[in-house]
Amino acid sequence: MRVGQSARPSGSTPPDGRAVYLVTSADQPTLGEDDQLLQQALAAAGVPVHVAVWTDADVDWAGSAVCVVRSVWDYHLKPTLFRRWLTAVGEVTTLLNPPSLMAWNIHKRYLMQLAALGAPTIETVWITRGTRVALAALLAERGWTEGLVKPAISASAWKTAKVSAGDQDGQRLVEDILQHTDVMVQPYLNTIERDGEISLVAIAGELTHAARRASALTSSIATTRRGDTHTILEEERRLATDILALLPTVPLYARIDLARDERGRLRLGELELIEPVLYLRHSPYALQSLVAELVSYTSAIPVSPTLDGAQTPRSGRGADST
Amino acid sequence: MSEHTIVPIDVPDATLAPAAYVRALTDTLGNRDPLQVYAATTATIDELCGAVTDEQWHIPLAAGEWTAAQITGHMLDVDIVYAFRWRLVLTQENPSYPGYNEKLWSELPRPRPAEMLAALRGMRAANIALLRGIEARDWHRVGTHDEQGPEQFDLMVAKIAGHDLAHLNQLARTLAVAMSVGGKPGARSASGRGSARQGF
Repeated sequence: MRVGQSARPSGSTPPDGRAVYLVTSADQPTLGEDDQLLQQALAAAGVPVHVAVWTDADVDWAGSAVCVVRSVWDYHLKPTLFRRWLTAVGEVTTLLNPPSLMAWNIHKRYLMQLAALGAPTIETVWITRGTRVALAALLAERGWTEGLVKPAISASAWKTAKVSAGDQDGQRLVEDILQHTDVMVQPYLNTIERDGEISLVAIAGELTHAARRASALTSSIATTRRGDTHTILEEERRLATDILALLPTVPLYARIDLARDERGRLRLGELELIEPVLYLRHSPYALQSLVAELVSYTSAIPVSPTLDGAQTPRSGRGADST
Repeated sequence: MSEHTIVPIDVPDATLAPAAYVRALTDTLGNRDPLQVYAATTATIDELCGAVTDEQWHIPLAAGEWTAAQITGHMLDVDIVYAFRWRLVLTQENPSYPGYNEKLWSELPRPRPAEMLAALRGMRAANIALLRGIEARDWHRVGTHDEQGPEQFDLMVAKIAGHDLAHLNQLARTLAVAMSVGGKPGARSASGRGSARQGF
């Protein structure tokens, strides 16, 4: 299955057009643990790999065969800049996931859209910037004794907290988040605290493996990023497949986070298309699939020797529409 | 009860309750930087509406309510009005300016949504350049709104920033309805892949 691509501009000859750029954040200059596996596997496959920080103004993005967004764990702090970056880099090279898909995935209102298409999501009250809301009243109105408050643009459980009706910290958190972005309030699911979430990973549209992920509220981020192996249940596979089918294009990678609500129903927690940990350590097959997919971006570039013996790529892989 | 609910921002009628209207707008803005809010609005509209289908643009929030096209059209109208009022206040001593009937304006001919958004971006870019370029003392200049009375320049900017937030909320609620009855969500028209299967 082909992954959606953005068009390579004509006329640019990258200095080393065979390189895969793995994109990271300034506070993760050597990538996250999971992505280091990808880096090593690509290198083992003979693919030149370059780790690039997305906010580094000196990076020559056009010099890549393909840029893969990976340990970009700070994009939620600079969403406007990140959107501009997606547009700018998507114009000069192949950026994966496709920029339009990542841009859509930044604000979690995508869950509302997927719900409108029939995806079973967790009941959510959305509070947009400028709205004045009393959290206690909101929880009481919904009959929720406890809620989960999180920013609509967020990563790594940033400003995410369990709240209850009499909780002044919760009200302060809502008001704090509203200074920056919209707020989501959901019923607090004890099932997630007890059982964690199931993260299903898809590479180039194929579900490859899953991990059970402890709640980020009760475990360290490091623990949630490691995850435990999980054998995918048929019900989980079916739901994840249906959710992926709603996307307008096939992502290179996707993580579908599922959880059970208090009635035992499987629900979509999040669909991660920007910087999810892919739990590659749990699936050599997924790692190899990802490598094979990326190799195809580099090996498809015809290479011809130059006078000084170096090799210069002549053109990029044909572009799909996005 | 719907699975997803957006809490509405309620703003009183500007003509019937002018003082309450102004207070509601400034309350909506809160302690945010008005210029920052004003400058970020078109990007938020682009996020919300970037791939809205032709049909979805014209689905109202409810019977008698505005559609996404009418909401963004209204925001363009307001930018036109403020573009004039701001320049007036900056160049005359305590000028007066009339209110206007936003409902009747909303029924006037408009360009297609894409052109309207382009016009809003252009108008707003000009207004932002003005706001960023004026002197600090200019923010204390005064004009007189026929219905709301005397107002300082900085209040005018705070009002439009609060107005933006209120209408972005309305736009998000309207599009949530439009998506649920209007078929494809925005994201699906982002590429040319065929129609999605709905196996839920």
